[in-house]
Amino acid sequence: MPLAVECRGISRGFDSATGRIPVLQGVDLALPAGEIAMLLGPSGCGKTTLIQILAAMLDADAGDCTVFGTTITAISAVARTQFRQRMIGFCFQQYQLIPTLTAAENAAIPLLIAGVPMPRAVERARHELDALGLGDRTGYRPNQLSGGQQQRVAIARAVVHEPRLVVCDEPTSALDHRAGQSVMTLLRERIVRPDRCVIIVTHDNRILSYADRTCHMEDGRITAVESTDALQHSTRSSADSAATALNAH
Amino acid sequence: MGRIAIAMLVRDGSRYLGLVVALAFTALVITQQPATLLGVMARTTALIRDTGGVDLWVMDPKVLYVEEPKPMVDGMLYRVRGVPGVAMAAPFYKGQARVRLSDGSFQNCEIIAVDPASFIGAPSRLSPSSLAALRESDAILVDRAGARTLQNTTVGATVELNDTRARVVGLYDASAGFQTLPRLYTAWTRIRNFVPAERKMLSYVLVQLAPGYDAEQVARDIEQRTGLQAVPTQRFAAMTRDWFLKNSGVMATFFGSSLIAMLIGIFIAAQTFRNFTIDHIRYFGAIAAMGASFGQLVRMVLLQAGMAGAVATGIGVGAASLISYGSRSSEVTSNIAPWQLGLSVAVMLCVGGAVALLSVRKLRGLEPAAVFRG
Repeated sequence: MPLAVECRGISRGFDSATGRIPVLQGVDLALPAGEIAMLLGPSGCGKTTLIQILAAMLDADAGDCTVFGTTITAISAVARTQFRQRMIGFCFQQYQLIPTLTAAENAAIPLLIAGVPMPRAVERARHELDALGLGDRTGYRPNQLSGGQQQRVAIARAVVHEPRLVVCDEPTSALDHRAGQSVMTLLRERIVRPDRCVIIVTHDNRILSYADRTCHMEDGRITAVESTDALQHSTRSSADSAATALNAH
Repeated sequence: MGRIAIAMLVRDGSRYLGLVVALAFTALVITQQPATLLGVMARTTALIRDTGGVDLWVMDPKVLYVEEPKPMVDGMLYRVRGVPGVAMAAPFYKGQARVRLSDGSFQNCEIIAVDPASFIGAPSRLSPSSLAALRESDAILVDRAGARTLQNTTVGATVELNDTRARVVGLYDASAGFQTLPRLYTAWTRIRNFVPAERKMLSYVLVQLAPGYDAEQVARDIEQRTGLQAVPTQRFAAMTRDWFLKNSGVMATFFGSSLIAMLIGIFIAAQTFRNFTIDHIRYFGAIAAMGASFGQLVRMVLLQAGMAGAVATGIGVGAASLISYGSRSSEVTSNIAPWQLGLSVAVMLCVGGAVALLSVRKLRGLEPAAVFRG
């Protein structure tokens, strides 16, 4: 598998009244494509900051980060915005669905941002929603959908424009066990592809079984990277080996 | 993203309604108040407009507006007639008289005397037969609104005008004036029967130009030769309007009330739209996170402001037009001129722009990364 994400020595801090507080301290991370990687760790350990940098939303103070061949820490803010629009899909913790838009319109937003005409964008969003089992709910507004259905709309929105990297922030935290499992099954079966990487930030231990790789963070550092049994039993590619070596470093 | 921006706006029913109502109120105020002011201003020149067929008004040099003439000696009429370019010059008296009503009460009236030979200065909206009847003994004409004030006086009725018998020979349609007194017309040759005789009775000399003469040039010649003030009709109307604007306080009152109402409307609209943007800031944040540029977000906000502004302007200007139409025959008239509609739209563009600018400022501080913080 080729590497989807490769970070070396990523550091980032935030200013406060008492000075700059380091949040990430030399993070090294390599994630192959075709996997679900989960970022785990206690609150405040830097998970969100790390995915903000991986998603080209935040500058790093130091270090390099390459996502599918583009060194996002070395490009301009405008180029990062275009990169996000083209390459990244987002699944937010609280869905962030616009309440006045239908499910199809919400899911179509990344395409509309890219300049796809409304009818075509909505049609593709409907197709995506249909694939996620919401074909009969495309005209519903978020408040007419259950939490699980809203999350599925958010997933459809995250992948409708065929991004290479999908970033999910606590995708199951607001869902009950069954809905959470259903969402993860969809992510596992419908979203993961050989040319795509899904990164999930989570505290939810119930969904760990869906991960191909878990990255444990503490105090702004990756402390451990583990492959799951399923992955371990498969034949590791050279890229995977490289990733493991980098993570060990 | 335009249709998404519009959907975000119009499907948010209560906020959209609040925004449109506030902006429509602003549009109504900035259209209606000047229209009412124009209506009031138009009243000040009612006598000039109702006096048909006059090219020049000649008067004492100290006259500032039509309602307050300074009488001249009758001989001035002949001096004006002697100026080249003057085809006809007719005397015109404007004063006041009291009519005694049948119940014994009195009503002040405006009385005007015109030349019974040429009828220059007679009301323009009057049938020729009624005009000819003005030559009869004791004849007066009364405006229709004034006739109602005079206890529904009709043609043929006799009234007591300054203790003298007068007979109503015709009713005419007059434009509503700044003062609401009934306006009576009589013949110049009989005016001394109805009002106390004075040495100077000539309020104005009304001039019709000979063909081919320029009004301004003849006016200058009259002024040079007679020492009087000669003013073309349109300019006299403008002089009268200006005098009222400067001296009556009506302009300041209307301008002040319009400004206050407009500021209230703008404040409410700006606050409502700003709240709308703030309430949607996390969605704008999510859209920015998904790769929308700052320019795209600004265009969305501008489109929302433009949409709300356009709908509100339509409603506000439409309501003002309806009010104007509905009040066309009432005492409080409002005149909406075409240029005023353009001005209202221009002002609303500025208002919408200012409202949008406040919201765009909120977007400037928007951090896409904040969307991950919930």
